[in-house]
Amino acid sequence: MENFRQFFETTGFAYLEPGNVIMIVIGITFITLAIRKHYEPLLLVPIGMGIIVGNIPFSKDMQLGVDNQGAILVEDGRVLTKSVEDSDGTKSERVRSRPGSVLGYLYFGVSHGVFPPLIFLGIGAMTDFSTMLSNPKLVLLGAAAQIGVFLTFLGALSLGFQPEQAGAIGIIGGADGPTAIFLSAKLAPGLLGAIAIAAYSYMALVPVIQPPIMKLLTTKNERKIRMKPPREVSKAERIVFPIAAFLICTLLAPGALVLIGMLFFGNLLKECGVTERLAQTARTSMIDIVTILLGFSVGASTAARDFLQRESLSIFALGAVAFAIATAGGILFAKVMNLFLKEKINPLVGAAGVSAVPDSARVVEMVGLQEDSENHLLMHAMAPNVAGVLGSAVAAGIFWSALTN
Amino acid sequence: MDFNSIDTEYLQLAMTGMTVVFAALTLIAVFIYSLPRVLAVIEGIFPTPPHQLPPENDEDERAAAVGFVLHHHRTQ
Repeated sequence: MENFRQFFETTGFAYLEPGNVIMIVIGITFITLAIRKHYEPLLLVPIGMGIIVGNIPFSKDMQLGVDNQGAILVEDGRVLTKSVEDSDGTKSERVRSRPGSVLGYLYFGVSHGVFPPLIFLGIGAMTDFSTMLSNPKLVLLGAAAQIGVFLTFLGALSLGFQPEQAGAIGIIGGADGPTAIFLSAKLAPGLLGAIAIAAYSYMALVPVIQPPIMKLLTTKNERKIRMKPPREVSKAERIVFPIAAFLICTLLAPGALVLIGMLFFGNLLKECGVTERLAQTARTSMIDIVTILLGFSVGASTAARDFLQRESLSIFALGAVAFAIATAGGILFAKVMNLFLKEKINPLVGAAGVSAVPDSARVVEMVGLQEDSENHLLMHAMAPNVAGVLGSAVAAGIFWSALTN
Repeated sequence: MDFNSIDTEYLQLAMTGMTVVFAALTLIAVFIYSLPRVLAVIEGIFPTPPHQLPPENDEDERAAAVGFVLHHHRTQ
């Protein structure tokens, strides 16, 4: 009996709490939504499986979680060392350390902001900025949608979050998963799990969240506005643009250096025409590898004791508000622009300023087609969509610069 | 939600941040708008050698012709 009791205490059942069960059910739900409803499967399957893995309990001695990234052993303020004999017979002192867990090593890329810039490299290598280059005024819609970021920042402050936490929560309104993870890792690592899950969940729900807001804020006639086809963009423009845009954005907001630098580096690899092999790797194998590791380790970081807090509910509520305000901001700014333009913008296109690329552009296409089955807005919507990526990265850089000591 | 509890410093941060985002993207929009003109001036000063010009591409015309023939064939 004693042997059985000792064995039981080594199993996960001995430490299983109701919170772990809830989180495992959430993980299974994510996987089910991905497989049956095709909601962002490339993200929800790794995150869902990571949630399940991260919520299997174990005894403290096993140190299997994401928070074990290895450590140098210290006693009474003194680093512990051990004597080691080298191959040539000489003795030397080595620092004693405790190895990290596999989950901890994988999570290093999230907690130290390594994975998000690599994702941006792949995104840059697959993004076509020509729609933005052919109609530059649509870039402003991407800027307008970032109102969701800053108003949510203020909303989080009013709910009692610390400024750094509020900045990390506000960036959910940018609808950019890698940017949200990057900023959370820098400003509020304790909220990273909740922020990442909220950001990716709402990105998957863009087709559900946006259409009612789009229809509420626009009239039937506005939704039927047809826009001129985009002009042809030269190769020289596509090569010069990433370099110039990088200089403009990062000289204004140096905190965005890493994200925007990698985004435009990837785009330059794609557009210059002489590094197609590198661009191909960046937008296929590399981004897939990093997506797997990022999604899985973010999911594994959502242990119940850290995730199932009242704060997480507030973050989810604020995330929904952020998305709604961002969508409304883009649409309303398009309507304001139309007061001064001869060639009107279809205000639906403003909703694509929410940088969930390309889902929000697809939603604009879908809602536009419901009013006029021959009015294709997808290519026009891609302009504010990619501009929104820049806008949210700049906003993240501003928060990082301003809120870091 | 108690908006009165928010420090004015953070209200200013939000307004400044939004201004900087708009400024950055407006500068980008202005740059994009002027880029074709700048490149045309540079092309005038440093013209592309003829052997480096891309070959004439009539793919669009060919695709349109094929599409017309197919449509004509199917409607008959």
